[in-house]
Amino acid sequence: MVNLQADELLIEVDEREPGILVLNWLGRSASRSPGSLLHPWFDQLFGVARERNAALEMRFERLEHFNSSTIAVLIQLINSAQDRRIRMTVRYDANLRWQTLSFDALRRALRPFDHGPDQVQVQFVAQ
Amino acid sequence: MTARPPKEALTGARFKAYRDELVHDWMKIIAVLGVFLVPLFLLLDYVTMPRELLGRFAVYRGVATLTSFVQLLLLRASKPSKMAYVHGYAFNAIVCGMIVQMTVDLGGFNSGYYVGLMLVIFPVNVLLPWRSIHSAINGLLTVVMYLAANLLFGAEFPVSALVNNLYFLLSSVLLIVAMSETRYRLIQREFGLRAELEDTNVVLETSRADLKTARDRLWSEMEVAQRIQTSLLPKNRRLGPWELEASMSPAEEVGGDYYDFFETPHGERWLAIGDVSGHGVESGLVMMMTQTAIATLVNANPARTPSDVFVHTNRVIRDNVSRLGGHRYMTLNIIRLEDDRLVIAGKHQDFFVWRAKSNTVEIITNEGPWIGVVDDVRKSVEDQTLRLEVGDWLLLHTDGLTEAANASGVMFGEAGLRRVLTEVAGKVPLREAVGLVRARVEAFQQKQDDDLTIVMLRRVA
Repeated sequence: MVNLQADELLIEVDEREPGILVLNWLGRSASRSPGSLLHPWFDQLFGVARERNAALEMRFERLEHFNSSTIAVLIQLINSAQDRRIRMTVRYDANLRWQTLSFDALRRALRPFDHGPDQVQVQFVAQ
Repeated sequence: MTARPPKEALTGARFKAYRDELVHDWMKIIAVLGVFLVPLFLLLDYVTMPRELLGRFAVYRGVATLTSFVQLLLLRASKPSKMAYVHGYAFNAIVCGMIVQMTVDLGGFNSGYYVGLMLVIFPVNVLLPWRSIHSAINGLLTVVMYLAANLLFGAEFPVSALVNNLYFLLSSVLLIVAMSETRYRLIQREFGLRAELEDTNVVLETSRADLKTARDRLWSEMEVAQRIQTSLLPKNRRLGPWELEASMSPAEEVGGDYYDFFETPHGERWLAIGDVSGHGVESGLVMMMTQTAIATLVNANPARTPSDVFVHTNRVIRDNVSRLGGHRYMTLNIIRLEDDRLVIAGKHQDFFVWRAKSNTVEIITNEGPWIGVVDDVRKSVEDQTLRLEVGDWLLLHTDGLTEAANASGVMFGEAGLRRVLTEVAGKVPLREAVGLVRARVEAFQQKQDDDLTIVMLRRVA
């Protein structure tokens, strides 16, 4: 799976660990419509994950910043992964206020009792 | 493959008018050449011609020059028309007639001066952009004139001289006919392409005008949306013991930031602030839905807690955005203003509290889920209490302030906001303080990428 480079954003795919596709989010995501690039790329990635029965791990600790348009797309992507029963872990930096604000609120929204019977749980890990 | 010019452009009135104008303009140039060159050749006559003929040749040249001059005057005074063709024939006949008469005087077919005829028929018939048929007639008339004059009035001649001269003259006529036809076709093609380009330009101009009309209509609709959004912002600056001031500066015509404060008919005081993901009209619509939902909920039932209002607002927004087929989410704080404290629900940016007694700024976090991600957030949201003393200030904001970046990409950040709040709190009136905070952020950022919203309140009693 090739990395995604879009303006200042780079999503690096690390496939070294068996059974896990690690996505390192690097740089900045400031596009007004990030979905146009992220959705097709993630569709492909979800296909690969399903084929290999692999889990996804998204690491945001080294990401400098993303805007509110990106978090909107990210929420859709997480929902999409849940619908496809792909296990997902989101790792973020608890010392970065903008990350805790976005992911704490998302973690609360996606607490286990809010999941439908066909959805898998998303793990949020604050480092 | 070369595109063929449209037929109507080639044969239509536009091309004829264009061609006649060209013939008219170029005929003026030929007349000018006649006025200057015909007398100039008198110098050559002086050197090469017999002395006894010089006077007669001068008269010929004088007549030809004068008629060329008259033609020039007539052409300058008239508009392009078929008359230019008559001038073409007349010029050729007069100047060639002069040369024919000179060949007669010089010994008929024995004279080599017939080459002067070529010097005239080439420029006249090649320069004038008329059809080759005119060049053919003009050239043959010249040859006939030469033949007739020298047969009737010229000296005796050997047949070989006649054949030689006719050979050259007729070959010249053939050449000018071929050149005229080629040139005419080139002009036709050039005009066809130009006409096509002009037609395309007209279509483009029309499209551009349509586009401008559509854009203006869209802009006026955007202005209406902006006006609606602005008119929804609160006007009341004093709610019980609380003085409030706010400022919102959208990055686009319609922003996704939201704030509101008001008092219900039951006497409850509410404050809300939030940020819809993304920008533009869709985000602005979600902002307006949120405002309406909260106002309706708290006005209808005075017993609602902020968390209860949050849960119901989430359901309304989630439902409406799903119906729209959109994907918009929102961070939101809903706050009930008690006499000495705030009861807060939801998750948004940290609160900046300036404590008057200690002149320090505290940063208070809040907890809650995104609005619009799931249907039911009852178990994810709780009420949180924040006590404020008389004289304390609270600053609420959207991420446009803390994430405002300078040319180096450095963000204004919470540290910047804390610093500026420390500088202004308790020192200037609340309204001025909001303006100062905004001015400081605007001066810091390289360009505004996000909406900037500041809400400040002060407990005055």
